[in-house]
Amino acid sequence: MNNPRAQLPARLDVGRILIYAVLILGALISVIPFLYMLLTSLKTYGSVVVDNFWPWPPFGTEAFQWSNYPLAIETIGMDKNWHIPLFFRYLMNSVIMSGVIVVGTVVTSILAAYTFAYIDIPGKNFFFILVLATLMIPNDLTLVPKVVMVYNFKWYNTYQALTLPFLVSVFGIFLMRQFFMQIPRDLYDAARIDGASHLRYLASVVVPISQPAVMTVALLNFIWSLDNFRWPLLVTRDENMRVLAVGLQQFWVGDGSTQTQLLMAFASMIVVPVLIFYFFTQKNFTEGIAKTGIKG
Amino acid sequence: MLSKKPLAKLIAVLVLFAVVLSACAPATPPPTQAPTTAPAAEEPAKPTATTAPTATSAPKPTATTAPTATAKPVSNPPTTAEEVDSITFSKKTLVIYWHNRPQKDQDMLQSMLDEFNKTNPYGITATAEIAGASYNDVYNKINASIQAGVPPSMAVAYQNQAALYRTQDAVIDLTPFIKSKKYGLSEEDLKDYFPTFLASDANPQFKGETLGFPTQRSMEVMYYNADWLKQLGYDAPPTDWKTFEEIACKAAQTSGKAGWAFKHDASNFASQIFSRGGRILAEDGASYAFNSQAGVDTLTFIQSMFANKCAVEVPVSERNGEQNRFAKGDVLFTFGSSSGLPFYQAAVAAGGKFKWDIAMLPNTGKPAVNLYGASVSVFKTTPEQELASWLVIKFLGEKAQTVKWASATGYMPVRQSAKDEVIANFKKDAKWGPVADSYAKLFDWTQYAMVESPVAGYDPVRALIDTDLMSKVVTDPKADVKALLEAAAKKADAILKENAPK
Amino acid sequence: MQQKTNSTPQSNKKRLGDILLGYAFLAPALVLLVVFEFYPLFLGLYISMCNWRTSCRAFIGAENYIRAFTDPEMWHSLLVTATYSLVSVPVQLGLGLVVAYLLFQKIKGMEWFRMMFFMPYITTTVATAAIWAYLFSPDKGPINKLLGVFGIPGQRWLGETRGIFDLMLSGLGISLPEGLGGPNLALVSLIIYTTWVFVGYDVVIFLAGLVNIPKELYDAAKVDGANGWNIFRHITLPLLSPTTFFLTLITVIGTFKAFNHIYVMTQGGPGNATTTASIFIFQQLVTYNRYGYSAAISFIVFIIILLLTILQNKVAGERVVYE
Repeated sequence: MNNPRAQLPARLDVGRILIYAVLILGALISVIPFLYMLLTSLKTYGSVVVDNFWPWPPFGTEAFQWSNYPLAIETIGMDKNWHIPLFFRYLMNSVIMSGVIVVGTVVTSILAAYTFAYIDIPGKNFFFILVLATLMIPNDLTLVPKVVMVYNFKWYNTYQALTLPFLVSVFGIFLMRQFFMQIPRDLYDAARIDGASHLRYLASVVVPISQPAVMTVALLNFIWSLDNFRWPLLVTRDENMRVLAVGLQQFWVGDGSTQTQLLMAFASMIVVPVLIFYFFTQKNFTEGIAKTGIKG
Repeated sequence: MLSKKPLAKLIAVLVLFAVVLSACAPATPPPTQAPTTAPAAEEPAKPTATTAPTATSAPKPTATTAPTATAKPVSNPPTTAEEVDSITFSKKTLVIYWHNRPQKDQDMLQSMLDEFNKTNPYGITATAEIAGASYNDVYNKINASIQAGVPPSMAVAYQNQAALYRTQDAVIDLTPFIKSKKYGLSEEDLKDYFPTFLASDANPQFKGETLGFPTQRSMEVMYYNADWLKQLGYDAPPTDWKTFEEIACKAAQTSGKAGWAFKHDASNFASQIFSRGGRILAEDGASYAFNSQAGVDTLTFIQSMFANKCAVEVPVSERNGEQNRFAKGDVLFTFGSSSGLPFYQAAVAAGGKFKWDIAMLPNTGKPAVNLYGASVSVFKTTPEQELASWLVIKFLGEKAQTVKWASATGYMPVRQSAKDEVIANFKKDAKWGPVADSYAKLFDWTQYAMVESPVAGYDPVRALIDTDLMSKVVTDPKADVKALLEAAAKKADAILKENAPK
Repeated sequence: MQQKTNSTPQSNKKRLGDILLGYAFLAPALVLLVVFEFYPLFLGLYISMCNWRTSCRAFIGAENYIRAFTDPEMWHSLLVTATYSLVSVPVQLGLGLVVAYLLFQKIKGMEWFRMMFFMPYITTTVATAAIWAYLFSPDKGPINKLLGVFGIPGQRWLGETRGIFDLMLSGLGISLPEGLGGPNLALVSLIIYTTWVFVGYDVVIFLAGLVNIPKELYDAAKVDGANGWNIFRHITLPLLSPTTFFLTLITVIGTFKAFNHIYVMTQGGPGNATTTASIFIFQQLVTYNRYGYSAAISFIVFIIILLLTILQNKVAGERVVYE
């Protein structure tokens, strides 16, 4: 990592202490809400009602209510047909939705980007601009017609409605195209000389090399898909078709409206796995995102 | 991080998984409705035959021929009691009931329905589902489902919501079912129902069609912290608004405490208007009437409660937030549904552990209570399903069920004959203490019952009341209350017109 | 990437095969985009010109548009959206740049800091918004309790319609005239949340941009005796401008799309203090069942944003410096 040594001497002085102080404060602000969530999830209902900030030792005598987690799952309810807690249906629906979206965006991005990078088709520029143009179309503009389409196609309350509108990621197409264009030309020429078809070249050379970019597209679309809330809220009807975000919001205005400790337990179950996942895949995220920010 | 081979395998597995799931998805077992409503939803919004529920209008020869009865086509929905009598159940019928109670009530409701499923001779299976956390959520879901052509068989619905569904030709008139000799309610049975409960369901916008039937009722009551009230020097809860304000402001003098918890709930506003002799909707149903003096006084009251820092506002994101604040002992008075009794009880038992009770809201001389707790409406599906839904409603209204439901939820039972047993159940249960006696009083209060507004399009008006009236006076001590009311009433009338049956 | 072609029939056939393959590869993305982005535009336009209930009950032409133009609520929602954007963007980017620049100073544990700043970005909005809603609770939340420790009166945060300048100055006894109170605190609270979510993302991108500035420029400047602030102003900032431009664009677009946290935290309230265009469109659709009207509003909002974006491109594009 480059460092302009010209800026400040590396020894500790007031300036550096100040810098660390600011950064630590910022990092704490970033993290404390999560701590609040975890701590609240371990309180008893009584402590929540009386706003006891720290009911555990040394100021209090309660134990950490780990039982809030199974209790939250129980309070969220049961799927009557599958006889499993609804929470697991929510989880399954989210996994399906995100899984299909991730696979879909990766596949469509790779294929489209390959054409843009390697194949000369008539109207290529036109199509590229068309893809670009979709970035200008805000979600709000297509919300009403897409909802109507879902009703008309009889996709209301189905997995199709949750996944199909999200299978193309323009960001993904851009990123992959960028990446492909940076692959040395010699590899392509060599493959062609060997008589390899586009498909062969794509599968055996391009995709393996593009693994970092693919990971970035996959990870980012995964995170963004978990954020889907308004759309699933509008296009699903039954409890057992909800995704986690919708399930949490519905719980929040229901039992969770007074049982804050259970609400926070539910929130923790959504947030903590993603944080752990992030901890192990950090590099892919930050490097991938960084690449998208740089022009040229 | 991942080397390429496992990554490729992972992608292949995911693709396969995704393909298989998308293919299988429509077949997943949640009991959805047969889309027989699709044609109904596409018809123009004119209400079908304004059903005169008399026997004479039925040209179809039914009722006399006993043995056959399967081949006669019954109109959908059935328009006469005879048509309803002629319906038979040729196959198993599934009824889906959407409601908004939390999980433990869902469990109780389903256990009652399980008994129905076991004992009914018609092969009807009924399931209850939580469609949303509030009536509003259920309403939104139903609207979307109607658009999509897949409404439930029956659902909780306020009169105004039922009216809106009716403008879309999505719910049916229950009169033929009530009057059916084979499947309906006898005169004796009907008399057992509380008259005010039944009366509220005859809809003025649709020539007195009965668009819903009660399985429960509740009313807006004042919850108060009896111990704290005594400490402040008062023996009984206030019966007029001046005293209420006086007591509340005295309570708020202690730092960190408030006299009253304000909710962003139009029903709170309506209850106060009723208590001041006003109405939400004019008697003829042609315009909104909340911009009366009662409205002015209500908003002025709220405004001054906040200007004098006697009230605390429950944030919009903290639904039912007044409950925990009350239970902690931070708020002296709250207004809420009597169906919240079990929740308040659990909260106070976990929190402040003080003596508390319920009372009617203060009034300006003439007592009035906001009677709500929705009825159940039946959606237009098939005659068999509609009849099956009606039978479920009838079952839930029978004495045994209504006693169970009321005793568990704090709702009022719908039958007069059930009243004593429910009250006895409350009195037997130690955790209720003095509240059991107050619960008994609810029945006395029903004579003062008022209903908010049974016309289509009232839900957007409720949203309007909060955003344009209540929220404004809470934050602005200088807001011109009269002007706000006039503007809001104008908007409300426009919404009334927009949603009226064409 | 033009292939060298000979004009033999064999290579022509190969060309054709290539072209067909190209279309085939492009097809999935294009078909999906056409179905789910372009077709809805036309369908939305049609719906906006209808009295829509399940289908077009009556074709009413521009009636919904006229109604929208004369609807003060619609203009108010645009105002709220604009305020939200105008306040969010500088705050978010400013903080992001500061933090990134600090992290750039050979900080021990830089990766840990970056990770912590990034955590809010990757977690589900509805979940973190739920946490913040409780943090902001006027009587039960820790933020007001913390302020109380410092003797600052508790605020109503998500429920406050008074402007932030008004609030800050009223503590000193100054009262501002109508309309000059600044953005209302409810909106600012939402912005505080948004900033918390996105600063980490901005930090990562700014860091990448900082890293790309050639070291030699810094060394040369130091040799010339330039101090830290001048280096920052005359070298860092200009060379960072492509990144800044990119981030500004992304952030502005993001603020127009903001919905989830507003919906769950304030529902557009109190009153209409936080009713952005997104929320307004959603309310018209769900609460009022006005499909056509909601669609018309979305078109109007889109046109306005498009014009603004073109404007921003013109103005800012000229100030972007490339090497």
